[in-house]
Amino acid sequence: MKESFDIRREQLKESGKYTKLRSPTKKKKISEKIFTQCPGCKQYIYDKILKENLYVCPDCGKCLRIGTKTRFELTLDPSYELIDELAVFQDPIQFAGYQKKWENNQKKAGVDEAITFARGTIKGEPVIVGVMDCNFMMGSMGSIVGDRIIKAFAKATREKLPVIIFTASGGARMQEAIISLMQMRYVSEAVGKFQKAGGLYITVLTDPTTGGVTASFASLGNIILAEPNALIAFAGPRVIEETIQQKLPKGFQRAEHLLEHGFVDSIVLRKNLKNTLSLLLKMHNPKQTEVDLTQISGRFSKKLIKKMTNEAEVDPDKQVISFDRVLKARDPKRITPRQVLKYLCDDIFELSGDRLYADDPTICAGIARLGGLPITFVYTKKGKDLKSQIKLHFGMPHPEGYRKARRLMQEAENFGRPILTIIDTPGAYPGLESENRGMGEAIAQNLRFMSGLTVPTIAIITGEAGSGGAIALACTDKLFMLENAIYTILSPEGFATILWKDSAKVEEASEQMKLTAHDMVELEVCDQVFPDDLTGLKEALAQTFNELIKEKQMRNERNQWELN
Amino acid sequence: MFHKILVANRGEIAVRIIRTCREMGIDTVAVFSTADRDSLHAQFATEAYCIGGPASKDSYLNMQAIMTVALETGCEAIHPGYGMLAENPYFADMVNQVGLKFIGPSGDTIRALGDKSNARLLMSEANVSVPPGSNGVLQDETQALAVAEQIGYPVLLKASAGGGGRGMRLVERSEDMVRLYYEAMLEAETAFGDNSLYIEKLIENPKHIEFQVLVDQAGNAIHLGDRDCSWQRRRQKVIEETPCPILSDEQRKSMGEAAIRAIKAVNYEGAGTVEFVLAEDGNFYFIEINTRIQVEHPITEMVTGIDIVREQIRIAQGGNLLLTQADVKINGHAFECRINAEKPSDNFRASPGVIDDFIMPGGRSVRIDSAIYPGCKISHHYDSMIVKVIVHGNRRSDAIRRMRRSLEETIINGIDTNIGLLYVSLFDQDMIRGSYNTSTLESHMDEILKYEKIFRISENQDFEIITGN
Repeated sequence: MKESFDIRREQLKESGKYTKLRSPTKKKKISEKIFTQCPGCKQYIYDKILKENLYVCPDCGKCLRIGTKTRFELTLDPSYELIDELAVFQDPIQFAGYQKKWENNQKKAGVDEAITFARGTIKGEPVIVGVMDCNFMMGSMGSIVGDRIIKAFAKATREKLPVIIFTASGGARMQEAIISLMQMRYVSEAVGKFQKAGGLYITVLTDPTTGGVTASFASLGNIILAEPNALIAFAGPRVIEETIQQKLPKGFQRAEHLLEHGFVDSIVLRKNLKNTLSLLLKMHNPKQTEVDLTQISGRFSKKLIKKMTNEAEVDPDKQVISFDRVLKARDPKRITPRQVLKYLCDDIFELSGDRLYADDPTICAGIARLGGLPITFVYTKKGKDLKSQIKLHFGMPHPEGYRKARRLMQEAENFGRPILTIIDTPGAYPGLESENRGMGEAIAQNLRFMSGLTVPTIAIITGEAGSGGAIALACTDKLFMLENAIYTILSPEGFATILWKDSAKVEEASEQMKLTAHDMVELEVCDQVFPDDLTGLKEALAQTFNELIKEKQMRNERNQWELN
Repeated sequence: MFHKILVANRGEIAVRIIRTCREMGIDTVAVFSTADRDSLHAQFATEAYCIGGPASKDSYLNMQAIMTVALETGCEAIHPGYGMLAENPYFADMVNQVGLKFIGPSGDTIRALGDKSNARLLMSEANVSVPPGSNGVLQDETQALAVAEQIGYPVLLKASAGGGGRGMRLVERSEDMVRLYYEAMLEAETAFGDNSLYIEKLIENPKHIEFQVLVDQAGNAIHLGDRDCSWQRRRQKVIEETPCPILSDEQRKSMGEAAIRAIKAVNYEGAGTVEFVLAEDGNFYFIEINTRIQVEHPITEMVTGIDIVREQIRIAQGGNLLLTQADVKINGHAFECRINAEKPSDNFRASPGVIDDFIMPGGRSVRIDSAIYPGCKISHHYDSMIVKVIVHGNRRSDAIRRMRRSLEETIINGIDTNIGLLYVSLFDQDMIRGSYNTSTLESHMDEILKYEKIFRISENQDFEIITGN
């Protein structure tokens, strides 16, 4: 058939009918650029689509680098004012050609230096925002950048405003040599002073954040967010490869890699960034000082909880022995801490990483609202299926999990947020790596730290609370337990082995150990017990927090008075 | 005058457009995917260029590639056909931005009508009745409950950016509202990146009636009568006819006027379709405006004698409408059957493959729009609609008989088709009476499927029962 078409076309061509054009073809030239090539997938994207998609590639999700003005427009509410002094060229080491390059870059990038600060609002929350522009000398930090950062933090301290900085930089500016290196020290000092005065500082790491910027103010945020796939590094990949003669693995030094290694709190899609920042600002600028029970929403409904706790009818004549409770506490279908948190709180925002080694997924922590009041939450995870259970080490945290919890509880202390921990763990992870990284030290630090907190703290044990791994999150003002939760010095199996060299005597051990919630009340370890369907928990939690808030306030005031 | 047009589509509609261009003396540039190298539209066009891989997103949806071909070959306009990029406002913007002409309305008009809750508002303002529902986008589930209470259950929750039933939920009781509200929101967010919803009363068992309209650049608008597209399966049209057999002259007149009011409310240009539902109580409501040529446009051409693609091109190059509403005369009756490569008895599974034999019907007042030929491949990458059989008759009954006759003649071997289902449908009592609505085909499906195998080998023994022969 194909040949028939070809033949017919030839026939028509010969007769001059088919290809005779009415007028010669004129190629059209377009004067304006309408496509941008995605540096990730190399696809061409229509500029209008790219703009509406906030300069994120619709095909591969790559966040394209954006200029200062665009970033301000995407982040701040429409009326904002630039607050920097005019940049006056400085050439501390008389670097040849620096001035010309600097001036050319001003024209090219449309900004007068590599960082610009503005004062404005994000969804009504007042803030000072700094944006680095990698179109200006690769966003490098010289003396003007350093100066602007120091002044912005000073201004924020005076005006009691939070600071957000979007970083994008190749590092310190080579043309200013050692003077650039000094900026790292000065800006870090400025950040420290600001944070000591109680200021909130959020950094958003965008592609690329490297060198002296990573090694100073970019890594010092109270909260560190990052855009997906952003390159974040101290020594850039090229430097590393040349120095150690090694090819780097894929994904190394990308935002996701850093999240896994505990240096980033959260990776936020560009389209969610404004909402996320406004939520975080609101959480740090609360309008209320108490838990307002009427504001606890019921999106994760009681009905659902009922369904989950719906068990076979228990024979009323049968005596419930402690071991029954052990089994119930360990039941994989049991309500999880995460579900309890969702039942209690709104606006849950998870923060990650211990800023040292890794992010332990077994312990989750972050900020949420309990009846409108911002609180810091910490809870443990076990996993629902084998795959997630293996990933979560069957609910046994690593030292980095406890260090993350401590880091975020320190933030809570700094900003005066109450702390809620929800616990269901068989214990801390016993293993080579966890011992190497100091499991004992991590727990000990938590015990000392939590005991010294001045903000109200409550822990809820929903299932198992095993040994040191549990108490490291349960050193709280008040301890609540669910009816079928247990709290133990070690597993009843272990107890039986140590005492009687027979782990089969687990039922006897369970009885002997005194591990049920009611035992805990008797032993004055636990303050209150709630049924597994959480009846009364919301109300009790709200009331207890409010009492603790008042009590601690009074105590703090007295301490203040005594100190004076 | 245009000298050269790029046809940014494939299959029968690309062939359809190229044919009219050729008749108008306009050169055509076809674009094709690697799977369509031997397809008819690539053969019929003056020039043809390969623009990418078989998946639509790599070829027919690849704006940048299509744009490059259009510019390099010196085209003056782009005809998008239907589907593919036809209702993509960005594509329209892009074509117009580089100084070519997009044959259709502007990107902003497409955008305004693509936002369904916005279109509802526009229509209410233009005094075109819309189904009872929310004014614009819902704020939260409480408002959804309040609106539903007011207009009465059952109601439909719909995604504002929506289409194709995604982000849509039928709510029959207030107890289900909150759950379904969040479900629909999530689905809309995933599908369209926009979670705004609106609410509409469910019109039960309506007729789907649409009006073909033409609007020139000066804003003159006429309609070319109605089409009844109620013979549907899962919201997909199967058989269409014009004029609608049950519409009174009075109803037809007031719907036609509403269609003109609707199209004039949105700064329209070109050919478009205003869709209504006709409720059982005789009230009609605006549903949406399709800003493109439609699959079923040939039946309107059959009864009006107007070449709609030719009118699209004339309007795009600035020509005024040559007809007034009074000049539009509807002569006789027309039907269209859509032959799909699918197997109805196997849950309408798509049936790609190679066509071995293709005998198309012919004779008086029969028109075939298709891009298939013996030896051509039906790819699973594209729409399964392969042939449109369109017939005309002086009376409706003539047209039905002619369609039956045409389907009896049609032979497509090598793949499974729904010819049998179409043929049996033409014997359905509701079809014959014209009293069918959008749920009739599905409610009669069990019965129809029993006999639809007639055109398959040795499975026709029961056929006498329904034909009465």
